[in-house]
Amino acid sequence: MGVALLLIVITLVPLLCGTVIMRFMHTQNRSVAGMYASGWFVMFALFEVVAVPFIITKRSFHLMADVYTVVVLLVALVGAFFVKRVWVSLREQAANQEKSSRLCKIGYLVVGVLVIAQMVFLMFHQYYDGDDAYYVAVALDSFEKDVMYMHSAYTGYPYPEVEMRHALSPVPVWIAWLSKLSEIHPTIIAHTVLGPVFIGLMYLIYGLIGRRLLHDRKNWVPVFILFVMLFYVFGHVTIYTAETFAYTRTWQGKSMYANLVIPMMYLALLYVSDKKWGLGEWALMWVAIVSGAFCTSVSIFFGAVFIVIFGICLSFYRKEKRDIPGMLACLLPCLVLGLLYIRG
Amino acid sequence: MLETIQSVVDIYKNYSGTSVLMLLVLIALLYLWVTQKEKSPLTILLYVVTTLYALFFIPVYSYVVIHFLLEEEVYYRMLWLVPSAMLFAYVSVQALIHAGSVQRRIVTAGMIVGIVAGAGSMVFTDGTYTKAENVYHLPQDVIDVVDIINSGDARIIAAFPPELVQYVRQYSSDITLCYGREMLVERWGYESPLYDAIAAPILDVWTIQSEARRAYCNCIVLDNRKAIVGDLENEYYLKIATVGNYDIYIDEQTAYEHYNEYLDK
Repeated sequence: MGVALLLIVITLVPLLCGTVIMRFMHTQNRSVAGMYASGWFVMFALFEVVAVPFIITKRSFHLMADVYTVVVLLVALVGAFFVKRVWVSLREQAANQEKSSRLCKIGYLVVGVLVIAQMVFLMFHQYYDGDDAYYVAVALDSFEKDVMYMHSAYTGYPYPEVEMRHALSPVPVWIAWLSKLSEIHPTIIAHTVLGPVFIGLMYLIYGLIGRRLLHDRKNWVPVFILFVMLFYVFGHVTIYTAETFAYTRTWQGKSMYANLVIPMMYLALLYVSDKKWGLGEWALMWVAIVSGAFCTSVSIFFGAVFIVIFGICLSFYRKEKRDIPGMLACLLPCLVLGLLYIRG
Repeated sequence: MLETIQSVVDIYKNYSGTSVLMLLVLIALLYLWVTQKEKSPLTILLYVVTTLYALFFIPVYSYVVIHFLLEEEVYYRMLWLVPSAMLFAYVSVQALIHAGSVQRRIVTAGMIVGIVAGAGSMVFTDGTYTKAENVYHLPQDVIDVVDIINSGDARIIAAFPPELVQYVRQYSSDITLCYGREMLVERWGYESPLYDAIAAPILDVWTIQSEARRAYCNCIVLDNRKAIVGDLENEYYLKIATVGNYDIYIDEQTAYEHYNEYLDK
């Protein structure tokens, strides 16, 4: 039962949550892969919004987890309501598009095989990272002791106060939520489940970026993903690179930021900067920025810098008043969380 | 300010290492600037990436960020905002497209793969990973030791050898530790006489037991490969089990109350 629930949470729930964003995106930017990928970010952003108030007011983990479950289910239900409409537009779009070449299909097959091979490898191989003594231990403490950030992760002694730097980025508590749903130990969820799943998700996002960058040469998208993979697999040149983090600390918030959130921010940038965009494109940017804060507190600052620079560049590129609310909406969570960070 | 400039250069050097991989990213960025003529979303992406890259090196910005907003230790993460893999892959695809014939494309692809493979380090083959010992991806010794300690259903405050300490609370939050992973990171500057005694090459029982009592520690796990001076059982810590290279000692009173089944053995 637990495993089945976990499978639903990592497959069906993101797909339905993503539909809510997809519904408001321009038809040319809609895809099943985009639905699934954006759904994860909806889940991350919702968790940041729901969990942080519970954490800083020192509420119990199970209460927060129950509220989050209800919120995610509600959003998934709204998504289910939009599925038919989005599906029809996807089919229309597919009918109008030219068919992929045979070589392109073989390319996708190669990409799929290589990604699955890496996922299987990561499932059966271990890498010991010192920071897990913090992140995984916080997840386990939340799951077993029903408190969030109230104990020292390293020793288990009580903390007098919640440490704001970590509390604003509650990835470990989200892992504990997955454990609560599935009744699987948080360490197994982090190391054996999320590691491989996030590698797959990362390449999916790069695939979407490839589709957007090579929109007039779609047959080259698998080659684009293969080159991304080449760079990632050989990018372990120092312990600091995003590529190193991708394969060694996949389940940690900072790696999720570098390898899931930042690519998603660029995907949203490409969508928003296009001539054809709707509310959903800015919503995607918003959930990506909030997901950044969910992953690591440095992103509160980096997210703001990114949005300001993007806003300035966009205003030189096109002068549209309707961009301003989107930019302000993306900046707002950074400001609110930044204030909390400074006060904490 | 000069100090900050030097720090930023060092951070960049530490990030890119001796590999030319990051240089390839810079070349890709430059190539796109030269070839990207028409206005498109890619143009905005280039503006954003270039500004972020430049910002990383701008002394006033880095000074403010390092001294007032973030720690110097995490400033390198600013470089994550440069989508290296994406830029590299896009320019590589462009190179293949412009190569023309199939033969030329194969040669170009081969060259690109050769350069990256030669310049980089493959994460799967450079000794980064070991075969998982269990589904937790934790050392099996830790799991076996903690299972025995938890079987007593006692409130345990434990001291573990350095090589195990960071994994204990990833497996069970029921055990409180006298010291944790913070002891393993020298630059954090934590001190614990008990840790020093247990990490020492020769175990001095008298120091270990006196420091353990001071820390209210009722469980001590020792590496039995190390030379030991004295016997912990004479100091009211009873050995309840041996797991591989580790002996588990429990304070006498706790042992009699909660671990009788092990003492009987």
